[in-house]
Amino acid sequence: MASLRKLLVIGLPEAGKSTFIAALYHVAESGEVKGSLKLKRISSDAKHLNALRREWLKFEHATRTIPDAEQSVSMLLEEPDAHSIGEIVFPDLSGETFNEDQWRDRHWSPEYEALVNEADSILLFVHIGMVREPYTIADIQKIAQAALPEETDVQYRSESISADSKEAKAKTEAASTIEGWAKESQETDSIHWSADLVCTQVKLVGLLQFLVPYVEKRAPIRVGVLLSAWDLEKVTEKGVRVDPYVWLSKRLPYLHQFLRAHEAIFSTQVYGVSAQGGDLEKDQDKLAECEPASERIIIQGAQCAAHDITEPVRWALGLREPA
Amino acid sequence: MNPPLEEAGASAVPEPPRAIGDPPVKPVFINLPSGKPLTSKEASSLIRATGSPLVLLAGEVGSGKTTLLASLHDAFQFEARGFGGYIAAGSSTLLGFEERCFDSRAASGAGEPHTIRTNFDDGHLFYHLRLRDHELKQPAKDIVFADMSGEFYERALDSADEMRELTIITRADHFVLLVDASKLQANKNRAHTRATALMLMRRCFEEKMLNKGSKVDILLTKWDLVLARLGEEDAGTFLAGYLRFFQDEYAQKVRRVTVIPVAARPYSESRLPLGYGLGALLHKWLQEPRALFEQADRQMPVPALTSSFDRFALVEAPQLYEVPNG
Repeated sequence: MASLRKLLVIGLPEAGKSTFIAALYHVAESGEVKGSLKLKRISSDAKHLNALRREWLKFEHATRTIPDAEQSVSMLLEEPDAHSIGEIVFPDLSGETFNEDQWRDRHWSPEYEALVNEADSILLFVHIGMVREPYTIADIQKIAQAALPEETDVQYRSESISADSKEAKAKTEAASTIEGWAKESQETDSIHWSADLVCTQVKLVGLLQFLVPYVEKRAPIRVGVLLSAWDLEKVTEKGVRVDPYVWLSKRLPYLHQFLRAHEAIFSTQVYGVSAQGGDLEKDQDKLAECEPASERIIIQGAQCAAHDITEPVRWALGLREPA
Repeated sequence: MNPPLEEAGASAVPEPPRAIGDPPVKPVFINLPSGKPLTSKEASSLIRATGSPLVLLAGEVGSGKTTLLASLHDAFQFEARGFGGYIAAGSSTLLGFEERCFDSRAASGAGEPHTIRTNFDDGHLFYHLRLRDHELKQPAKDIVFADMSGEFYERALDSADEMRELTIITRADHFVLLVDASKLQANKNRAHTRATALMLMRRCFEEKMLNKGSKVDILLTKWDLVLARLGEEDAGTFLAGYLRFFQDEYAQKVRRVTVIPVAARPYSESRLPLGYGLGALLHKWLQEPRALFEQADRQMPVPALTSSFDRFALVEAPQLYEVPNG
């Protein structure tokens, strides 16, 4: 029988870590999704898992994990054919642990270091609606010039603005965020640099860099990159969403480059996942119609069957390969 | 295989003082690498461990040294293919780069991009990039940049002693002189800008900080402004003139000299891309053999070992210095 397997769960605040664990627990316990991993036995201490699942089933936002309430949850899982894969441990750590303790304050606890040393695999969460972009002031000026051509007299404007209209559109969409920053700036005169303000992709690379000395000796270690709130990604005219790997390469290119450059250390698979299935305020009626409840889960990635949110765990633990 | 990044900095937080008889207290946290610019000692360790080239950015205040550094980090933020044929494989100085980039980012709320200048009091700052070729044919390579305030160079112009203090120049694999081309092009500033650049080079030669083994890159910075003012044809003539001028001045005095127009952060209406001219330079800096491995006959001065740069150079290349006995 397989022994204890540990998954290191990494993500900035509100990246969807707890919601993922809630939906995973529901799918594994309920057996609603054909072919998914299943819960072999309910853990002796299932209080935290049950609380997370209850919120998920009631369409409530997962209670944010705060540093003082961090805990590990474990699930005794088995394959659909009842082949046990052992107890899987997920430390449910708060995003502040990563954003503040590690990235900003540059330290971690001995307990976390032990987790890093023992982890079999990594799940890295990114909320696609909460990406802080590295846009430059020049980018914003170009967007403004494109929006207000009559107010500008720019010699090279037509050449300087990207020919890729999709990219321009994406940047325009991001302009609302930037307007927010500008407004913030006006209100506070100026924004002083702090480590908190660093863009998402650089923070995530920084967090992964910390792991390299620890995991290199047992490389490659599998990293499942989970793009959460995947329902926010628009469905194309062909009825599909963009490939999550492509999304990563376009929206978080620095992280994408880092993972590629270290492919011998980090073996990566990218998934789009919406554990809630939609916006809990706007889409709740529609989500409530899903029967069974697991049908509201959106998951996209290699070898993912519909709604099978256990697939990233299965891949990360190497269960797809023969023993 | 390269050694892991940021390994060296990890250490336990010192235990707080405790009374006699108290049980030992386990450290609450374990420190992680700071991510800030490296000290000379840290840079030296990294260079020894990785064999990375050291690129020294020199030039007067406002010539664009720190902007160039910031752009080298920024240039990897926007495209999956990376920059200049390389992809980013990390950095030990991510926070340092990010701080330098911040005032050119929209998140700063500023109306116009600029870069926080390196202060004289900051001393000498070292920045690190780890890069890998886009095709993944070679292992990752490291490169270290040395940045210091233009005030150091201005003082070196006034004082030979100050110049001799800058022993980092003899240690660098690449001496990169940044000259503001927009000032070279403007009538009012041309003479002063050119004279300052030439004087700095002359001082370096006279004090034997540069010699026939040196590799010198002269970067004509803010090229976007020159292009905008002159147009492409006249800018080409302008460039050709300075190419000839600098080649005539230095080709016989150093191992090689190149003159390259760059626009690290072009103004928003420019058609030039971010980091214009820097991709080819990056390739050159990473691919050329390091100075120490090809210049056994370099004539080095015997410096007074007083500054942090002296200590850095001594640790890095002790064979190049005569250390007084005792």
